[in-house]
Amino acid sequence: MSKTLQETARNLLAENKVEVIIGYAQGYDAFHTRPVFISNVEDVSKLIINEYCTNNLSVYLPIHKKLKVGIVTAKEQDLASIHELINEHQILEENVIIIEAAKQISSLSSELGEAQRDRGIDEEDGRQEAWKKRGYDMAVEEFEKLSAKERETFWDKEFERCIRCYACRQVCPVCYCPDCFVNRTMPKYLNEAVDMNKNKLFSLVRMLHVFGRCMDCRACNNACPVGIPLRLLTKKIAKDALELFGYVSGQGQEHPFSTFEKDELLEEIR
Amino acid sequence: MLFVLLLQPTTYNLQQKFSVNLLLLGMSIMEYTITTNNLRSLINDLLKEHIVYAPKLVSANTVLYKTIVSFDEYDSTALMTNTSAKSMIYPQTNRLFEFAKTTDGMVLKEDEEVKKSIIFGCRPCDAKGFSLLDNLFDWKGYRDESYFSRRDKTTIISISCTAPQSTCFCNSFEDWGATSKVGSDLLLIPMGDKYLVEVVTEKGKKITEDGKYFEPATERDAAIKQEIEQSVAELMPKKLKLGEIKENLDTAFESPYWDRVHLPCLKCNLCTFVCPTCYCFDISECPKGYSNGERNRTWDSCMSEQFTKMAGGVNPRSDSKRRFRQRVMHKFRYHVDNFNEYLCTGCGRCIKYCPVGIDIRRVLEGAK
Repeated sequence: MSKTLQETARNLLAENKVEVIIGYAQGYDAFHTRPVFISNVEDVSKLIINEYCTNNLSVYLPIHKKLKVGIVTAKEQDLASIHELINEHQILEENVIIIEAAKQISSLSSELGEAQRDRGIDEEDGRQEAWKKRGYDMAVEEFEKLSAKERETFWDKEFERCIRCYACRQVCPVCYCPDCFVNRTMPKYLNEAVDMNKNKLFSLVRMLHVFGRCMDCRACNNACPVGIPLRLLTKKIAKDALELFGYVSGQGQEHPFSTFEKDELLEEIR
Repeated sequence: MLFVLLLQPTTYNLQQKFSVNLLLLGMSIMEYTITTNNLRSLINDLLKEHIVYAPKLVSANTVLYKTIVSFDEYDSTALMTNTSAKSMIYPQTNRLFEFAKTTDGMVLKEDEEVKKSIIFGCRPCDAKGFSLLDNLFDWKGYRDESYFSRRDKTTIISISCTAPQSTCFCNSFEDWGATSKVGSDLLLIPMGDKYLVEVVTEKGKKITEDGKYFEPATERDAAIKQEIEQSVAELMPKKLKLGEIKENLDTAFESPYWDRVHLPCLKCNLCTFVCPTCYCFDISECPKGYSNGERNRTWDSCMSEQFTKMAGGVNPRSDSKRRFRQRVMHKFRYHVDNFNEYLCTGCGRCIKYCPVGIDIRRVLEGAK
């Protein structure tokens, strides 16, 4: 698989169709890959593709929007992110050549890769199993059954350990604002002090901002150093977008907020 | 602890050698052993008078230092906590004082006195981080009271590790690794169902003085310790040539190397926040209601754009490359020039948790 990819990349660079290829290279051990920027034909042998390619590389596209970029996509959501960025006029379609590896690696196997990777670095299967038995891995359906008060308690506990490193925001392809609300100083929306309420405010406002744009690519969930289950939130907003507005992000549909009319106000939301 | 059992036949010779040495020197070593059960009782005893922080499982794959109420909450299986022990002494949000506006004018209220605490189950790499911070916060005649008010009242009981991960590189530094005592007050070395206890400081001695739970170590225990040191060394064969790296960095500031190596970095603050040695801070006021508030010292990160942004809008480290270079240069060049030690303990958290897999070892080796 990696050989075909390398060949494609070599041709693109040799024919000057792209200035840089953004792909995956071997990480610090067999269970990890890392994003890599290739602009010399000699370096294409660094490119690999396997089930541990978990990063969503489209996050780099708005940063390098002036370059002609070849980008490797390892899962369906990565592909959707690129289309979303084009839809939102963040990048020009003609500047991006997508090298689609997503069809070779199904999104399912990529998820398995994430789980294996976590175990690979810790080699403590027992602990994860024990945790599962305690029932802390929650599905969206279970989460929806909780009352408002129970949900609040649940997230209070999770966000209490957030260190506000903003890794979730930085790895998010649709969090491309150059001036995030938490960094503004005049007026200051969020104080530097880190506590549960402020952490929760940041993360939940971010979730509102990416509603209908989030591809549920799991980048924020994987980036969190303290294991806050952000996936639960992204799955929930993806589900809501579909159920309330019949909307799926990254498919070229018009965004529900831009087509919204006053008389279609929904009872549940009011 | 299978490997300890396996090693026993070979320890016999070492044992004899070691006992001879002791007799010759006639020294009294401060070494004890403690059984796991006694350790439980000791920690539960200490809990009566101290706040005890220990690694605790808080969610799947997340172990953090937390206040524990009994020994059973301590998670002994984790090699490393997700974030370092730094925040127990140098909190992310450190209240310096509170202020309130009253009819008599502004009233300042100092923070309550810090309680005696214990960091239990600290790894040697985290403990070494404190020794680096000690030198920094007590430098050139300035002593940071806020830091030392906690540091002086905290006893660090470290437990050495026996199975390093692929991200660990503490062996690249002096005083490294499994049995490094730097920064600890007591060091426990696991030996099957008991621990070898090394007393490092007076604070550590106070805990062993009671003597109820401790037994003097035998020569045989000391020999097993050496075996463990060796076996861990074998598990970490690769070493960074830090001297060479420092020389390369000295001339690499303008190098085109930085133009490419920073590209994957997304400039989150993760690496600096999980690090046991990164110390940069910001001071800000946090309002509480209309007339009250507090002044806080919070961690800041050289990775963030706001870090160097000035009031007029000028930003000397506005781009990604300069910020990335700063972090590497500070840890492995500027700090060495000032303190003659690297601002890194090799815990590998920045490698393990970096969302884009940046490996500082690789970055350093390539720099020239």
